[in-house]
Amino acid sequence: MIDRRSFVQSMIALGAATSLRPTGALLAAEAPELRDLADAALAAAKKNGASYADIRINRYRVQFIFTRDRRVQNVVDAEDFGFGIRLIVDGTWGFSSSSVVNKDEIARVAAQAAGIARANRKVNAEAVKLAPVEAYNTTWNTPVAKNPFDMPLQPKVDLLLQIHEEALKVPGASFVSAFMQFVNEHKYFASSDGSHIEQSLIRSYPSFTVTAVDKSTGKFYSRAALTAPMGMGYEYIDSYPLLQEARVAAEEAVATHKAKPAPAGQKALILHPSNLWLTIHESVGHPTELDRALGYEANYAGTSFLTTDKLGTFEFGSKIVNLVADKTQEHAMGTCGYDDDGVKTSRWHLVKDGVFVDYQTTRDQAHLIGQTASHGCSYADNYASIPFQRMPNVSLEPGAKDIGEADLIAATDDGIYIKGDSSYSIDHQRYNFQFSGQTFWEVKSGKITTQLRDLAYQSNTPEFWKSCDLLGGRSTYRLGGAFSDGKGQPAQSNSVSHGCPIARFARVNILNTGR
Amino acid sequence: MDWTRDDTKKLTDRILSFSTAESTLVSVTLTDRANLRFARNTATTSGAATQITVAITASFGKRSATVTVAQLDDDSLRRACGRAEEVAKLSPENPEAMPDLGPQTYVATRPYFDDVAKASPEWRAQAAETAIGLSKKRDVVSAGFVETRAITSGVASSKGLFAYDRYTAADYNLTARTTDGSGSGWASKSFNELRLVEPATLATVAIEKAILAKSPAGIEPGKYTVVLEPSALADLLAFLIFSGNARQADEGRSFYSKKGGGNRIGEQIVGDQINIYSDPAHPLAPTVAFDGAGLPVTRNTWVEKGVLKDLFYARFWAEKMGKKPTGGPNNVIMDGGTATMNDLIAGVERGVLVTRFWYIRPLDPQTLLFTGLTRDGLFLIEKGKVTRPVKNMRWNESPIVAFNNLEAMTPAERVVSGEGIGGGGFSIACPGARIREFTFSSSSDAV
Repeated sequence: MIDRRSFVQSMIALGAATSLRPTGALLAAEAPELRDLADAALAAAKKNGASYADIRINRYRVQFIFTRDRRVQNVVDAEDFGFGIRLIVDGTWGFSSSSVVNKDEIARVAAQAAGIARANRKVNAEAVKLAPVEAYNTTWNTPVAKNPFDMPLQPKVDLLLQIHEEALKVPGASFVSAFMQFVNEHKYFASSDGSHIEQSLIRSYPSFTVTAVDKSTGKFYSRAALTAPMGMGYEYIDSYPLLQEARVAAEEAVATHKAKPAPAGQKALILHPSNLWLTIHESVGHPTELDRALGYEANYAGTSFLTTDKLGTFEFGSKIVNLVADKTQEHAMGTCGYDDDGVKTSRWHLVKDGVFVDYQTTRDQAHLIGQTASHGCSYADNYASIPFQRMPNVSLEPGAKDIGEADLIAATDDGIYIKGDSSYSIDHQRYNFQFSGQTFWEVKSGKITTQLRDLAYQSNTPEFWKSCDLLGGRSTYRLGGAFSDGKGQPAQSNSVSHGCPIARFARVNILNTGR
Repeated sequence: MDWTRDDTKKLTDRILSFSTAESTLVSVTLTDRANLRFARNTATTSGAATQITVAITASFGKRSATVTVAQLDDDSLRRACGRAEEVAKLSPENPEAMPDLGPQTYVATRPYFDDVAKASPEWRAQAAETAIGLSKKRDVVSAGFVETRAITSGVASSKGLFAYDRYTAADYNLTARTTDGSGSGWASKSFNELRLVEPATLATVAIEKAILAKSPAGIEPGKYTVVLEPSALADLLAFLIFSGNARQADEGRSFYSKKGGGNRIGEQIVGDQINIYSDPAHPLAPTVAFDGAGLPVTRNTWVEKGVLKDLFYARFWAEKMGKKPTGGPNNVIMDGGTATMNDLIAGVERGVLVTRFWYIRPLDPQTLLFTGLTRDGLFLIEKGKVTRPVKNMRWNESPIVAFNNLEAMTPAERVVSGEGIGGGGFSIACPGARIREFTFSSSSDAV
């Protein structure tokens, strides 16, 4: 699920600027000092009776520039630095953290974490078991061509304000907001299993929204950018045709006023990757989380219809559906070298030829389904947060044939084509979902005939994926992503990408949402 | 760690002394939080965090920038001030920038209680053990969360503003599921005071509800009279209120916009038994009396007898439109009625009793149409009695329509919504209610 707290905050603020929380990190050559602090933490944990311990000393940096209606509303540079110590005493987890980084505080926090583990021992019926891991002494950095934190402010602001100018050239475009957000997580991990791993992760996200208000009818329609947050540097922004899309978005927002109201009933549905990524996130990414399937998230995000008895046999989708988890995928936000358990990242199938074959796992849960190694899905969104199972990049493989957008539309007799993501909602076991989009197009006899408005599609996860009957080829494949996917208590945010081709689903329930 | 008023004042004075900007606003927060999660009837993860956030906003005329840091040593704070000034000078002018506030007066509230600030790991473990013990006795499996938080906030400006307060929050929530996975129940509360948290009572509610909800059968989606428990009503209330930004309304891009221009303040928007307001000193939902920029938060009425009385006015828009800035809000209260939950149920010929909603998202901002699902206990009501559990359903409905169709209410109580709104920080008090013609659009197999 996308972070509801952020969503609610943004509703309160009605402008993303004030919903920003510092979550992100600064690259610095501080390894020798960090290693010394980490060794002190591991020694303190051992002294306090820990059979296993790790420390993460992390620095986060976020830059956020928000513009609205031809002016810069907010420039924020946020930095956060601190450490978290996680340990096992007598088979029970304990964790504590602090933003005061020195050896005295490390000793206090290690003792506090051990005290918490001891207090919880009497309510712990399942001793923690960790899957084995190799010891690594290494570094890993997001490969970026242009580090956004090394860039001056001016070109960023100039580009954002140009987006306003382009969009507002379109008659009928009333309001524009545009932002850029950059995150750097600099993470130093050390564990009693012998690892010392330093990583620097970078993410970049440009976006905008154009609104067209018709005061005579009292109606308004918005169109958001089809950009995605990426595990890339400023080169993503350089390569994306933001100004061109600003103009198209404004034209489409204005045209929505005169668009045909959506039909209701079953139709073939063609989903562009800018829409389908979110459907993959919600209907594939979350139900294949092992902790959900086992009941660990029952009190918040929910459980999963993909219970462990279905592993290896359940028909999740049609034969052409192949869904892979991949924490090594180029340009994806969930990509890193090692997870927050110190496990080297990898790629594996969740659904192969339509059959559900595997879960997302961590070191402390792999054994619960008889696996001997973790898939490396442990992540904590802050030094002060406890690492737990978070979604890797989960993507739909493109079809073998080079089918393009035009081919897919030409092959469709009566359908709807949707671009961009919008309203999204799914139940707590991930069966019933309802999604909307940014633009909707009627497809008749192999051609796009007209723009539609006020539309959502509703389905049930396995029925939906079983109805997938045509996939675009590699040339239609692109990444979308969730910048702040929420899970856990207290809620933590995760950034993750989802790649997919254009895809068609044979018969899906279409709703008209106009009132 | 503890920051007194004097400690906080010394800290903000020290930060302000490092700034050479024309005007500087400093916001400092100390958060001490500790939690315990349990699931599968056993403890899972738990932890504690002490976090400091310092946000420095430097301004030169209409140019400004904000930098945040987590370290309090002189060098770190000096660097942060310097960086804020450097970025502010590079930022374009914002014609809508408002000057930092000078000294303000705040209403007295009491949102801080020592018993939460001093809650021990043993108390949290005991609270979890209570639920686990009761769950095992009734052969259900529980997952839950216990958290205690103490937050200290200070806001100061180079123009003499100084605001200081602390608040506490103790959250306890759990989901009980039958071992066959066919029934689920939930309970959640958050209070400023630890003594008000009753783990055994909450655990019993969730456990008994899971057992009652076992093996539900489907009913046809459509329009039903609903009896909403307070946690379900709270989400409709929150989404109705959060959509109330004055500027968006005046600009024609909100449900609260008036056709032809302006907003709908003064119009009857919901039934005349509805009163909604914010009040940081409210005894059910006490909270801090200033916002992040030090603006006073006072009692403010949003809806009175169904008439829209006010919307959220930020400082710039308030000045432009000749209105008072509203600040915050940090809580929302909806007055209730005198009915009991049994009275609400007794008045239903055929309808459903809703424990909570889940995954609510906007579908159409023009009509305030939202979608969401029921979760953790949905029951059929026939001839004034709860007769059997039914499968969850998705709904597509507007809180405006629902509040117009509201028939009766219980007294208001402190509530955490199904979406988690009302747990600490932002508090909600509202009633349970009976509402006719609530639109369910599809069925869900989720338990």
